[in-house]
Amino acid sequence: MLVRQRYQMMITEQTAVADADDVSSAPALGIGLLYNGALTEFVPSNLDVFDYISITPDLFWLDRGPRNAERYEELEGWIETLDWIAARRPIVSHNIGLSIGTASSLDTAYLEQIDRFNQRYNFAWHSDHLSFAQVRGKNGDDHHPGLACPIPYDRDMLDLVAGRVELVKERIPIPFLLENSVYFVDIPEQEMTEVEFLNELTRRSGCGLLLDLHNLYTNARNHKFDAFKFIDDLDLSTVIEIHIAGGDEFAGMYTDSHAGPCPEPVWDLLSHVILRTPNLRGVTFEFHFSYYPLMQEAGVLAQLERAREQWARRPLTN
Amino acid sequence: MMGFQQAMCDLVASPDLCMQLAESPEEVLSRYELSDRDRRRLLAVVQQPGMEVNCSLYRANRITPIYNLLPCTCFLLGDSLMKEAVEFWNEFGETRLQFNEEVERFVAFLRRRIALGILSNPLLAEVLAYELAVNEFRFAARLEILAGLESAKAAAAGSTRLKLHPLVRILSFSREPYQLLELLEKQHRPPDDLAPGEFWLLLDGRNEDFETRLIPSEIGRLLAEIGAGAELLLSNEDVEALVDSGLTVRVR
Repeated sequence: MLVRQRYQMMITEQTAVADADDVSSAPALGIGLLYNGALTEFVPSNLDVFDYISITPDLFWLDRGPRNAERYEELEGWIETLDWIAARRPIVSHNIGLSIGTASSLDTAYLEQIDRFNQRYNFAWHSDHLSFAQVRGKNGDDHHPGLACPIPYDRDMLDLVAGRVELVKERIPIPFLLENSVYFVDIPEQEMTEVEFLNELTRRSGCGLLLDLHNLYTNARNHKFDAFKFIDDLDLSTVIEIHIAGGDEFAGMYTDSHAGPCPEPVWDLLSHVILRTPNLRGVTFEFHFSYYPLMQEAGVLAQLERAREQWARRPLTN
Repeated sequence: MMGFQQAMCDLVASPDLCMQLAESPEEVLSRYELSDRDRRRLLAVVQQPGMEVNCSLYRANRITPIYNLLPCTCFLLGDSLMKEAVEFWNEFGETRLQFNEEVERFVAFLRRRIALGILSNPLLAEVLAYELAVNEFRFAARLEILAGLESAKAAAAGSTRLKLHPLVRILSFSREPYQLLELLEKQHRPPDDLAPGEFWLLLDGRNEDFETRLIPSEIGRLLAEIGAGAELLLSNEDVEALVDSGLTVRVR
């Protein structure tokens, strides 16, 4: 049976027993790869080594801004590639533009655009980052701050984000996940720890967690805490997807640059967490396209193979 | 919350502002609506080494589209690149970080600097125009443009007014463009005496992979005038020939 058909059946079966936006309704996919522009040849020649493709949908369109009547313009070549992939493998969407923690208003037009893509590509689930990437400018319009900024783990932020998760789930009735962020500065006087915030957010809002192990490793390394304890304190039943990636030193700290293969500590974290995440549906390897010439096809294959070895260790009840 | 986020973003975008905050907190903090806790938080974060990382990442994120999409321009700017980029970011701090938009704004910024005589490299304007055209093709909705032209064809039939095909660009160079661009792509500085002359390069993005070719100066000048919107007195035969070439289209 074609993978695509099997996948559609799997979705149908699972949605029959759970609400479509319930994170537990997400189908178990396996090992995925975050698509980037360096993978145009890799993907068609290696279809059998990954079970799904994660896309950053924002790469597939031009955003002409909220003041433009025809705001989104699809990039023809990229869309052609996506159509080809979507006919062969399930797609999950890893958004970068929702800015769920922004103090200014939520970009509902962006949400509608994600929904249009979901209707076309039947995302198994979609996700975004627990951060803010929009800020109100001097002229009253929102703009990008130049990097996704982490949010303070306070009660008012929890209320804001949990409310917005509800809106997202109402608009796009498929499982929605939020990813733990990287932070380089410690914001003092936070009302909750990161783990407390994540546990409370997932409990209250019903969103799932995209546990980025490399982000966790980066934070643990820079801020000197125990990443294994972080995992053990987390409500792991909410983890639906895991991201693994590489990074490097930059300006005196370790960063989440997606610089090639995963470092050993990230594999150790995966090995630890894979046995403890009962609702895990996928492990996604991500790297920055500029590192493909260094990794080459063999390098990417090696990362996927290693991730699959870990995936095979999941308890049978998953 | 809004004031804190605005201040945080301004700080990330400006190492100078971080220093200013550390030195004279009230002057900086008074620009935002902040709670006492927000103030304490901002004062604490600018003292941390992580803020330097944030500022560096901001710059890396903003230089990435420019460096990726205007590589030859960046090479020609050389040591001036960062100075120009910082000027640009000071002027256009509010970005949406859309690659095409960021590049178009930077090109307009550099053109203004060239016109003001601040940037004087004689090759810069030509290379800038070339890379801008390449990017326009990269982001163009080609099939949509072609379909639009097809549907407008009947209405413009018989007209002698012409415009350049929207997927065609005509660029002039004062150096042999293939030699020049090859050197720049390999990050080699072109010699001052590199093949001077009047050259016209046609960029043709009508097909999936865009093509370039050198065209005779006479044709280049004519097409450039049409591209600039000039109303030319052309014979019917010339109009027919230009339309048949596919490089121009009739307009009502």
